Amino acid sequence: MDDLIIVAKGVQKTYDTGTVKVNALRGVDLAVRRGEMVSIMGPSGCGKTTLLNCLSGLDEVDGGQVLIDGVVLHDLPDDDRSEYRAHRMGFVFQLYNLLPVLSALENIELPLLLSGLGSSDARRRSMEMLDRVGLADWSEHTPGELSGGQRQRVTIARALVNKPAIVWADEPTGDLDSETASEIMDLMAQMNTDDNETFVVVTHSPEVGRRADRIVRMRDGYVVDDGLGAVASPEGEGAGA
Amino acid sequence: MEEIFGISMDVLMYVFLGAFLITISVVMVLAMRNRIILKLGLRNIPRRRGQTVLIIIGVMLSTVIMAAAFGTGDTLSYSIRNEAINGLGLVDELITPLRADEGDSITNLYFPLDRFDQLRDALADNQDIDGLAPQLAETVAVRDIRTKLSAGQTRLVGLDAGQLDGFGGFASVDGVSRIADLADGEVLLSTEAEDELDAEVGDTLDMFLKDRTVTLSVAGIVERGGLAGVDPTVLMPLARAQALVGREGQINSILVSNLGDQRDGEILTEDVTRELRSLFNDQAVAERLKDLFNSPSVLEVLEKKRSDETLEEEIKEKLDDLVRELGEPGVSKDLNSLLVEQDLGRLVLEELGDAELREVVREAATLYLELAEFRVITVKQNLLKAADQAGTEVTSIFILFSSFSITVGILLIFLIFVMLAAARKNEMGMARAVGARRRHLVLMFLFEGTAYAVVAAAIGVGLGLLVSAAMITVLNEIFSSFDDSFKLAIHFEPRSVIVTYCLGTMIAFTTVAISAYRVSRLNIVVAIRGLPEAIIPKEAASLRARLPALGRSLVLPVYLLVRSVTRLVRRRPRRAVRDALLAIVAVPAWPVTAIVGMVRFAQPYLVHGWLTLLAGVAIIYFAIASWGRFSYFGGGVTLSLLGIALMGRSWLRRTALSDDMADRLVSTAAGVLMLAFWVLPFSVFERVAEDLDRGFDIIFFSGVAMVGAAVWTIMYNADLLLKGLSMVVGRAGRLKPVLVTAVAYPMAAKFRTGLTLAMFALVIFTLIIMSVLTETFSTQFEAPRKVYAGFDVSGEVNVATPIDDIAQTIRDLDDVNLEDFDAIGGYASLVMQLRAVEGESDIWHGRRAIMADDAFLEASEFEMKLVAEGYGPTSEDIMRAIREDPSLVIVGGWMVSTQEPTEEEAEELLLGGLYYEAAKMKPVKLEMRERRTGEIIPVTVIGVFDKLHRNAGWMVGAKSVFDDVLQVKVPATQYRFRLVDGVDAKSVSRGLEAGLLEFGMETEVYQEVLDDESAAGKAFFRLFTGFMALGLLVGVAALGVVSTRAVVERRQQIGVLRAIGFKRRMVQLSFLMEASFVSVLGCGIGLVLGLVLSYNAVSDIKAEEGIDTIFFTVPWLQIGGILVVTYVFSLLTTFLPARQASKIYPSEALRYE
Repeated sequence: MDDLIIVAKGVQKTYDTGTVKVNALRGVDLAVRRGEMVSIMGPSGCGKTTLLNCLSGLDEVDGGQVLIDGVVLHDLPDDDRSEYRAHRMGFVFQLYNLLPVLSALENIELPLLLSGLGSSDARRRSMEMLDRVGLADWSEHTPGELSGGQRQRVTIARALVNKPAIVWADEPTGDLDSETASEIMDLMAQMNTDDNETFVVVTHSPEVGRRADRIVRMRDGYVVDDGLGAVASPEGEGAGA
Repeated sequence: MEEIFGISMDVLMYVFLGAFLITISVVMVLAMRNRIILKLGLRNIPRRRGQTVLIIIGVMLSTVIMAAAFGTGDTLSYSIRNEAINGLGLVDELITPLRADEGDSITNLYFPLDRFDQLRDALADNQDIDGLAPQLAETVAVRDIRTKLSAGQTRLVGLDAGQLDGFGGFASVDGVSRIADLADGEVLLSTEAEDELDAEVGDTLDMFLKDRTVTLSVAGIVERGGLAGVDPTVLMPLARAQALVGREGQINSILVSNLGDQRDGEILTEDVTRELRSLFNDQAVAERLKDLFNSPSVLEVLEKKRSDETLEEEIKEKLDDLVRELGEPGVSKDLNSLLVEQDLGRLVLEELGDAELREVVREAATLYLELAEFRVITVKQNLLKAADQAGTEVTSIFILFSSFSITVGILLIFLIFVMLAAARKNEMGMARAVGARRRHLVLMFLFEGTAYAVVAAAIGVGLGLLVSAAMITVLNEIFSSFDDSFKLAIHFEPRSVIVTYCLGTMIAFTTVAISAYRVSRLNIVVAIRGLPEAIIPKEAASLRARLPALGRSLVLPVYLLVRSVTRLVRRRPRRAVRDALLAIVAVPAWPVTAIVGMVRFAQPYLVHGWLTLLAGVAIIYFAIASWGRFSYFGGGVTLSLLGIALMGRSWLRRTALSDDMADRLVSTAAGVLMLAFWVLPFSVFERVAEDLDRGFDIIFFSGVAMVGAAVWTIMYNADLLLKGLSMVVGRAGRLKPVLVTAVAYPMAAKFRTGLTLAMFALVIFTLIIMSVLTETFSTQFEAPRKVYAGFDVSGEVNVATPIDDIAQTIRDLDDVNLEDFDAIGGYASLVMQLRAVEGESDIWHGRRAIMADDAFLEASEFEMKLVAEGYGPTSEDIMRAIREDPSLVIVGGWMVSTQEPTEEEAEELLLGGLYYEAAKMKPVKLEMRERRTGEIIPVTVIGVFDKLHRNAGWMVGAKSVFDDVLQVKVPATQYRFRLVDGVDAKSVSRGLEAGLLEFGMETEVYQEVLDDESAAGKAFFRLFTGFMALGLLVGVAALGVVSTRAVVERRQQIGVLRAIGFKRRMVQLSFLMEASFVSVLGCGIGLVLGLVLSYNAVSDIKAEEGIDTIFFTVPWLQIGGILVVTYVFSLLTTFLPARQASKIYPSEALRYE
């Protein structure tokens, strides 16, 4: 068996707004190998972000199972799950989601401090990371003083500084122009190659999708194409390869 | 309560009501003309109900505080008025004799009943008086044979049943209720006496008179008040009372009832008093006074004074009348009345003294004393005035003490709207982007704010009145330790309710208007993109643009009127009408618009600093030269420092320094200097500001300035503080990320944090001051020997039944052992007229004097502050000297000035240049005149005793000084007992009261008195502290508002934190640490500054008043309690939002926008 880092089996997620029930995920199966860069694509509302949230443990699942490195994340208590995220995962969001009150350097430092690294080591490693993303000269600037591309670089640096096993990226280029988006994807691809980190990227963009090792396609809460030849029908009558 | 801070409550009501109605009308007109904006403004209210409730609570708090203050004042005023009206009934004035006859006791003078008959005849045609009654009132001891209870000081009142018309009858409780119905040996008992004796109709009473005891029967019990008085009273026919006390055909007072009921009668007091006084003046003396004043030199002085602008209206009118009457032939009623007006007499003598007319003053001063045969005491008016004054003072004190809390409440309203603006930054930016004008944003906020203000003020008034009801309950508890019969009845004047409501609404409205204006200056792009700095500083307009604006603001109503006419001419009637209406509205707002216009015009120069400095220097100059207030002086210094700082900033910005560094350097320097100025004790500025008045306002101003300067300095340097903190806590490893976020947020919103910090610091500051002052001033209760000159128990007997030989009388008692007494002294307490022999003042000063027997002089241990050269040095030496030479006296510390008076001042003072802080003194010669006999006795002051003594405003001399001079008796009615160590004062006190009942002996154990006073004093201070702790509620509420808002604002960021590995409790901890940062820092600033200011205040009072028995004492335990409670409450308030934050699910939070 390949070295699978993410395994999802029959993952279901339903949102109940009180008046309407929305089946966001209707039994998703997915497997991702270590060091792989996978992009998840599909039309709006197909469940891409929900899947990412469920896989990363940011959200609960209502059915099925998610294993990260063999660990059933959802069986862990909330605190352990948080600690697991701090040590093993990095996140990149469309709207960057940096803390506006901290400088670029402090934003990057935060995961290291959470992992218990000493202040001076954290600062040194964060600075190195900032240098890698080409923003060494912007370390003291707050997110409000950076451009969209620069902010996303800081977000990537924050996601990778802790050398996580998996980086989850939700529309990382959604708020950027095509040139900056391409630069960001180059950066992510380089990190993926250099550090052998696994990237799961949710995107609308075919260009971004093409930069991944494989594309997983979703529709209406199902994975309709896992990029490996296994195709599932929306009705769940999958025709495996 | 008729006025507050010298302003009539009616005027206040009309002004505030007018301002409120105009404001509301303008807002309503604007609302009708901008309905969509109105809808946009108001739709936020029902959308977030929780937030709405929070806002209303925040907005109402300052109103709660004000309503509580007014409610308490109203209640006090109303209750005392009620007590006065019920206590006096239909009695409005009391007439007592001023001249003593042989055989009188000096403090209880009689006159023939015939004099009453003459008076009644003289007043037969007077329409203002509906009742005139002769009265004999003595104080006697009474015992109920059945219950064996006694009342040592019961009023025995004799009334003529045929002369009681106009006074109403007695309200019967049981049995007979008319004097006329009493059989021989029967009396009526007031309910007050009934309570004390537990008496019933039919009981037999023993009444102790001089040399005999009579037995009386209770025929009826009548309600207290009116003729039955408020003290325990026994009533009987006049003739029988005269016979009992051996004063046949004599009375000692006349009761007067004015036309009208219990309340209205007082209206005629002025007229009635004038009429009565004219009848009582010795016309020969009045003629002599008139002749004396009718000289050109005196008239010139009086004419000059009439043109004095600073003279109060009431006294000016009297002076005008006096000058007019002096020009008329003969001595009219009006002139007679004016001549006995004490305030007018004093003013005239002072002015004549200033004009060096010494001989006139000397003669007039004595003539004044000889002028009247009787004194008319306006008893009801005096009590009603006292009631109003008490209400006004209490409200003023509460308002002044709560000024900090009200300030904090205003800051909270501001904070709330700053936060609302931050929350709506995005949508407001969008609104501006699609075409909304700044005016629309201001209106939107204004509509919403007005809705909150109107509702919150109404709730605030209601809650404030509830708070005052609670405080009155506590006050009643405190009063009950002194007087069981007086209870405060909760009462709120509609006028106060209107003033508080309108004031509360206007405060909220003004604050909202200012914050709305601030909000309207947002940068559209920055707001839409959600960047941190959404408010842009306004560029200063050019001089050419500012000049017309200044002109318009200076003549706004005229400008609008002219524009209206122009528009009418141009046939634009609608706009013309609108301008005309605006012109009307602009009239009351004119001063404000003019000031705002001037400030706007001068803004660039103020910001540059030189004009600010100039304004500061000008204020300093006027504060010293004419205004005479230290608070203005301090304001001027603060403004000057700010001006220098601004100039420094302008200069530094032109150097190589970054703007940030320049701002930091200058702001820090300015903050530190301001803090240093306000922290320094007042004595430092004595040379320049010696004569400046330091009222309570200085505590308020210095408090706000100190806290403001401290918060300002800290906020400009908080990053350094945090770096230090971070280095310390950074060692705690896992706490580091929590700390990083906990301090980053408050530092990112410096304005908001500064506001909250200032609120906390101000509240703690006031509480610390109250605690320290309470503790410091209660230390004086710990020295009973000093306070009471070494005696342990006091005793008082009735004037009618004095004790001839106290030691012998006690020796004869069974239950009291004379050996238990170390010393027993007695004295008579009298008001004497004193006049300086040297110096230029020839005015007689009324002062109370202790005229003591030898035993008292020998035993008393007065703490001498000053001893005249040639006497002393010890207290015993001084007392021995007085015993040997009865013309020697000592005076209390409050009778002399504290600090050295100038030569000019000294000439006007009774005791000349003698002052409390002096190192030594020379004997001071005085003349002492006994008013009732007119005898003048020369005395010499040879010492000044400590101010801590309970009678430090009195003079102490030997009673024997009267022996050769006065024909009347001067019985000792006051006794002081010093007990042998180990003797139980309480049991001696009880024994004396029981054994000496027939003399009416009533005693007090000094230690108990001090304990009660100390307890009551502390209870009062606690009440004040509790009242001011309402401010704490505001501070804590502010933290709650900030935290709740923060959770909403940072929802998405909380999601990120959770995503990157923050555990739930770390999120919670971060919020709690954030609140702790503000509350701990606020507590720290408040504690330090509170201690500094109270230390300065105590030192200042010690220096000013020369009281060296007050020690700056810090109640650390209590302060610790306050700080802990504050911290715990601030954590509790933050706990819920923090918990809420920690429960946010990361994926949900990340979706949130």
